[in-house]
Amino acid sequence: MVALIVIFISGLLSLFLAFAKKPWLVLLTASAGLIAGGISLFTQFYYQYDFIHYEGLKFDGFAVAFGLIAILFTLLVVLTGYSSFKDKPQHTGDYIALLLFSLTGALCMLSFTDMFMFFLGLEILSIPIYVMAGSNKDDVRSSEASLKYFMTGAFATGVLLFGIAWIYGGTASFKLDEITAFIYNAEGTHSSLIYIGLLMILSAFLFKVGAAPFHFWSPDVYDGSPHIVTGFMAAVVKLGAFGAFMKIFSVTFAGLHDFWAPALSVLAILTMFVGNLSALKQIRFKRLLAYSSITHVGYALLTIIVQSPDSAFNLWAYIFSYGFSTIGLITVAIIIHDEEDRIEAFRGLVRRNPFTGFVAILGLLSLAGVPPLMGFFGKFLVFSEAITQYPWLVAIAIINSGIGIFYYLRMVILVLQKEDDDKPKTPRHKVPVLQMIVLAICALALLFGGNMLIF
Amino acid sequence: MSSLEIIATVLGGLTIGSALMVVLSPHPVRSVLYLILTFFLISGNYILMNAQFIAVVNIIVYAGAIMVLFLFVLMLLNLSKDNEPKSSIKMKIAATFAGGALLTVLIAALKDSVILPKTEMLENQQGMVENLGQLLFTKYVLPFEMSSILFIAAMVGAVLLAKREKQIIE
Repeated sequence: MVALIVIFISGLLSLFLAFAKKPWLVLLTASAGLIAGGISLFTQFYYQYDFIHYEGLKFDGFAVAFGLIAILFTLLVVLTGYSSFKDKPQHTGDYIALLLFSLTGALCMLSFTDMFMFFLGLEILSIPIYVMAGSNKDDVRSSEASLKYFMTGAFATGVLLFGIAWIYGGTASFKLDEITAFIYNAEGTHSSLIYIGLLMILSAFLFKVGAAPFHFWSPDVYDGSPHIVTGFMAAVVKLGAFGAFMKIFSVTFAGLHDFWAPALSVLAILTMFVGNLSALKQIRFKRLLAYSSITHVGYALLTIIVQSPDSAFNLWAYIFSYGFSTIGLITVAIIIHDEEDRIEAFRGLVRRNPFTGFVAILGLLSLAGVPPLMGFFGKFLVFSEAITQYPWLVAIAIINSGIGIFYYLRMVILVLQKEDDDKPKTPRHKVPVLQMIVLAICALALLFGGNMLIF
Repeated sequence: MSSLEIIATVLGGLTIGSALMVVLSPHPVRSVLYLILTFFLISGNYILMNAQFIAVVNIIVYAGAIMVLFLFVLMLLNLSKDNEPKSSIKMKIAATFAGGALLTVLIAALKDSVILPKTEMLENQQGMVENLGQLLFTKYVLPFEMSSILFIAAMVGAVLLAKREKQIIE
């Protein structure tokens, strides 16, 4: 709770400090607020103290573990984005504040105990992102992304609310533990209202995480939004949505596992194939990232389908590795700064700028799941947990990883290749210090984080 | 059937009827007017459920403010038959299928549903402002305060999107 307030207030402060027209002041406030929020989140959990008595939010181990990486990802995104925020000093505060507000919503979605807080958290998470997607007003595609995301997102929220209403009709409660108790006590004689509500909430969640067949918004929105926002959506928004997904389905609706698990497994398979096969033909980098994120959602859904005490940790590990790879790659794309955002612009990166190229290769290989990197361990944990209960699902997931390696490796080769001699040479990129720090953190995490996950 | 049940049935039927007309009427302005009627009827339903405050707020906010906004947007949009997007016959068939399937499932679920026993009879002061405020500032104070974060985010966002960028004239 304290963390939530700290982060919200630092967002407000950065909103008002922007009047001073000193972008570094805003950056300092925001980072200080994020670090303070992380520390207070951890200490509150560690020492079990609490100033305020409240009903509706509970910061248990699950919320703290996911919340800490959400804060870390936001910090990285803000640091990378600083160089582009700085160009419009009058808006630096607004952008950073909106990102922090969105993070508040993500924390709320990780710790809710009743449907009110869940709904509020979801909206606080999404609404700033609708705006941020359209923040590049000179670009038509950015406006299109914003409008498309807003329209489809509002529709998904409507379906979600309708679902919650049906659940309330079936169980007469908004509280998660009361709903769980009701489902267990009813022992198969539940009112059919619950099933309908469950399906509606499921489809809204699948929309929010971007799983097929609810994924149509995601390539356009990822492609149109500014790079920073794409990174934030891939890392933090997905994390918040998955956290809430797991809280509601693996815990609250665990009693109805036989009902929703088959449907979800079919959708997970569909998601993996749709993401992978569409990614093969992309020429724009952020579109490729969008389709690859759809595929990764398919793998991560396995942790929700499989019921085991380790599922939460596996999901955490998976998102941890995915977030670092994406943020690293997005940072590289910002450094390359190609107007058209073509994949082709990555050609010869290693020769132009060895360190950036190295991080790009690490990120790509980690997304592909190549052994010593963190992405491999994330995948390994998820698949090894699922293989006893759903061997066929894991088999399909492994086939898909194979397809995925093709387009990731194609990009790795592109990064390593020489530039064409007849074309004018692209000059060396200058990397700002902050982005260098972010790249270094991502590289370290990708290289050594995997061993940490295993032990 | 008690008189309350008769009123509830008639009101419910009227609500569904006017909601259907919103979708079915070909003219957008007529559709909006039917929507206003629907909101009034829904307010009637709220009063039947002892939620007087919500009923009033519903009329003020939805039937008043939002619908006026809707009418303005319609006037600005300059709708005419010519620039109406045509949906292909395939789309129509698919949409009918999807909607029909959803409707079937919903009706089937409602038919099989177990109706929970009625909660204790509400006293008629339940939905008044005083009781609502009492709950809002004690039991539900956290969601109430959280919604202010939502509003501030929405306000900042709206200003950010709507404000015209200063153009640099060289």
